[in-house]
Formats: sequence, structure tokens, C-alpha cells
Amino acid sequence: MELLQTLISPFQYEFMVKATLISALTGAICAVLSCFVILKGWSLMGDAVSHSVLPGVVLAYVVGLPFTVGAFVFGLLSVVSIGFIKARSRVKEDTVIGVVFTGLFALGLVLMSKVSSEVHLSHILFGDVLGISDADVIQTIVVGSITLITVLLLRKDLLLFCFDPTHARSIGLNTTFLYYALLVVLALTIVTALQTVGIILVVAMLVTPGATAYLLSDRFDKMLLYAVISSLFSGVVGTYISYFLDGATGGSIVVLQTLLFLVAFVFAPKHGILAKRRQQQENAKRNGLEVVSAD
Amino acid sequence: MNLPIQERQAQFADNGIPSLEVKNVNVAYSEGLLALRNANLTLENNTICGLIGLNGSGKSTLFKTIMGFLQPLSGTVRIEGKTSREAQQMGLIAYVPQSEEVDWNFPVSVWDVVLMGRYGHMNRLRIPKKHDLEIVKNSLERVGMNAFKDRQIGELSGGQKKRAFLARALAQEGQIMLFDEPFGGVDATTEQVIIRLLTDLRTQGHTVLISTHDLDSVRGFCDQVALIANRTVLEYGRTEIVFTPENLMRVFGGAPSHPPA
Repeated sequence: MELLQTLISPFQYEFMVKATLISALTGAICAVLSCFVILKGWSLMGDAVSHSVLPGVVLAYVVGLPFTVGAFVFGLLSVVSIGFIKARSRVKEDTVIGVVFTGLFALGLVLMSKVSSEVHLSHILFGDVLGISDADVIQTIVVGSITLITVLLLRKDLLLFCFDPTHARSIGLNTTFLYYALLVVLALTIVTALQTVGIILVVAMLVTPGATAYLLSDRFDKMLLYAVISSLFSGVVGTYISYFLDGATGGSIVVLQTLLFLVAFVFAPKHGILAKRRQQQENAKRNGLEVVSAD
Repeated sequence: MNLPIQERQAQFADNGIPSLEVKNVNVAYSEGLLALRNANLTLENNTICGLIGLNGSGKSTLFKTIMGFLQPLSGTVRIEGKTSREAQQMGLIAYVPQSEEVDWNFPVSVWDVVLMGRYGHMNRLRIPKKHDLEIVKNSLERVGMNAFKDRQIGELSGGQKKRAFLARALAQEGQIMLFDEPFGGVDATTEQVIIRLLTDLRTQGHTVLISTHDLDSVRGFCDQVALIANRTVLEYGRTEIVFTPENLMRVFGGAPSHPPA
């Protein structure tokens, strides 16, 4: 009985209920986006946008705007700068991304050192969902809902754009619009997730659920579903566990996501390493060959 | 099926606008070298035109220019009198590139891919109607790929992949079809499927432009030929007029591999 008391104790607190809801919402949105991010090969881009929002968050605080506005503006600024420099120099894209986001992140650190200590660096870097304010809850819900609806409405065009942009263009779709639409929703998603996991770990939310789901299915709609399920699970359970750890909510969520990925990596029915080995052995047997140890 | 061009054209209302018109087109690479020099080509409605030339002569460049993927420095491309972009938005044109540069592990089935060919005909949310699904099914049947519709796109042989992308082009129902090297590296079954498909498309009133190395196919079913060499169109017109040993010497240099009979 005492154990049960302990187990349900987190939900006696309003802040825990709020945190769990926000983690779940953020997890779902990030999961949807992660499917596009990993198929498009934009993991590094996600990392770049998330780091680049730091100066935006600080400046928004200075000017007195909602942090989402500052973060979003700087997220977009990083994307536009990357595109601009790539198009006009011989430097490769991954290098440009590295230069731009570290530059903006560093600028954020400098600004931060000059601003009052009311903006907690660690909360921005690592998230602070247990201490989330009502205003931030509302911001997160509004931005998150807009993002989720936009992505779901554009889902099929975005998928075609990720799969075969040449064909998308040849059937008359506006691929420039789709490119920027995907970048904008990526930036919005990062803004949504900042409160929960912080700048450093946002990219995990934008990559890991998609990667796990990619190992589990060969169909996009199922992949979306699996990504959302794994992300919801990690978000809710991670927040719950962090209550007992007394912090590190973002860390707990991402550790769980990584564990789920590892489980899929080993046990996925078709693309896991065990299934691959079994297929190899069956193929060998069918061809009447001696089974060679895979190790 | 191989009626003379004039008789076949009589089956379709001819508004006098050519299916495809490429006029004095120059295209430059980013380094400034010319990728196409003063190219001209007019396709009569409802014909199959074979684009013949050596590798690197500019065939794929011409396709990409027609599709508007490469912007000409000068000159015009008109598809049924429209610009490339307008024609694409109106669903007038379908294009199958020489090789599909897609991620073969992408989580889509053959059916999903062919359905993508219908997006231009659907509403903004791309919700297929019964009609769209019937066309997808029909397109898959025409290339003999119905049995493979539930396969993930990477779980196909080279020829099957080619046929899947041909089915997607069919599903677009474009009046004009561009196929860059459809016979490149395909198996015998796929080759037969494509030949039948091309002649069927002509019977149904489409205009087809293919690039090919296979001179037998030109003699077999191309109504028109365009000879391309040194980044320009040397000659184009009716096969019986243009497809001469002298012209082939100009395209292939001293030694045509299959001189015409």
C-alpha cells in the first residue's frame, strides 16, 4: 500500500500533471516531425536549428517578448543563413551548418553573460519542464498545435518531397514552398520542445523516435504511428521517473528513447539484427550451404 | 497499329499547336560551358519520337530543359503552347528520368509510389477518389506489376523498379510522355513491356519522346527521329527522311554500331 502511495504520489502535484501533459504533447509533435527529418537526412539541420535559437531566447527576454518568438526567429535565421552561404560558396553543406550554428550558439552564450541572471542557462540548455509556467504551457500548446496541424495537412506532399523532389516538381508541386514549409515546421517543433528537453537534447526528440519507427516498418503511416507511440511512452514515463530522480527530465526522456531504439535495433521483426541473422541462415539453408557463424 | 502519321492524327482533334516545341534553346552549365547549343525540336501530335545520340551528347540535358529543371539562357520551350511549369501544373506532361535517384529504403510501397503520380489530379489533401485508385491499378497492370504492388519499393529488381516508375508516369495521364533511356539496363520482359506500352500510348493519342541507343527500336516504332550530337540537335523529322546512313555517320562518327538496313 505504501508502495502504491509512492508510485502515484507524483500526480498529487499540479506541476507534475502539467509537465507530463507537456512532455506528451511535445513528444507527439517531435515524433511526427522526426519521421520527415530522418527520411530527408536533416538530423544535422535539426541540431543546427536547435542550437541557433539560444541568442533568440535571450534577446526575447531582454525585449520582453515571448521566448517562442525569439527562438523561432533565430531558428529561421540559421536556416536562411545556411542556405545563403551554401549557395554562394564552395564550402560543403555540413561544414556550413557547423559554422553557422556554433557561431549563433556562441553568440547566445556571450549575450547570456551580459543579461541578468534571471534567464537560467541550464534551463534553456537542458529544459525545465517541472518548473514550467502557465504562460509557457499556453505558448507550447498553441505553437505545438499549429505545427502538428500544418504537418498533418501537408503530410503527403512533404513525403513526396522527401522521397522524390524531381517528381514532385514534375507534377507541378511547388518544391521551394515545401522545402521552406518543412524547415519552418522543423523550427516550430524545436521551439515547442525547448521547455521539455532543452536546446542540447531537442535533436534526440527529432531523430530517435523516427529512427526507431523506421526499423519497425516499411510503410510511412505505420512509421508515424510507431514513432508517436514510442515518443509518448518516453515522454510520459521519462517525466514520471524524473520526479524520483529529482530532475533531469529531458535526460530521462531521451535515455528512454535511446533504449527503445536499441530494443528495435536488436529485436525489430524484419530490420533488427536478430531478424537479419535469421534471414541469412535461412537463405544459406535454402541454398544448401553450410551455415557460417556471423560473428 | 502502325498507320501512317497523317491517318492516325485524323483520329484526334488537331488544333495546330505542336505537342512540344523547342526553339533556339541554349543551356549553360554553372561553369559557363554550353550544355545545349541552339537546339530545335518540334514534335508532331500523337507520334513516338526517338532521340538518338552518343552518351554525353546532350540527350538528358534536353529532357531536363523541356521539364524546366534547367533554365535556358535563351530560346523557348513550349508544351502544347504552354511553358513547362504551366504544362506541369495542368498535368500535360510526364517524365521518367534515366535513373531514379531515390532512397530505395524509403518506407513506401509500389502502390504508394504510383499513387503519387495522381497527386496533381487530387485535392490539396491528396485524398484519392475511386477514379484515382482505378487508374493506379490499371497503370500497374499495364506494366505487369500488379502482383508486386505491396512490395516496398527497394524489394524489386532493376527492371521492376523501372516498370514501377513507368506506371507512375502512366498514372499521371499526361498528354506528352518523356522517357529518358527506358531500355537502359532492363531485362527482356521489361523491354517487351515497354515496347508494347509505347505503341499503346500512341494508339491512345499520346505523344512520346524517348532517348535510346537501340537503333532497331527506332526502325521498329519511332515515327520521328531527332539526332543529337555535340550538344545540339543535328536533324529532326520523319524517321524515313532523317534516319539515313549519312545522318547516322554524322551522329556516331565513323562507325555506327547498327547501320540501318
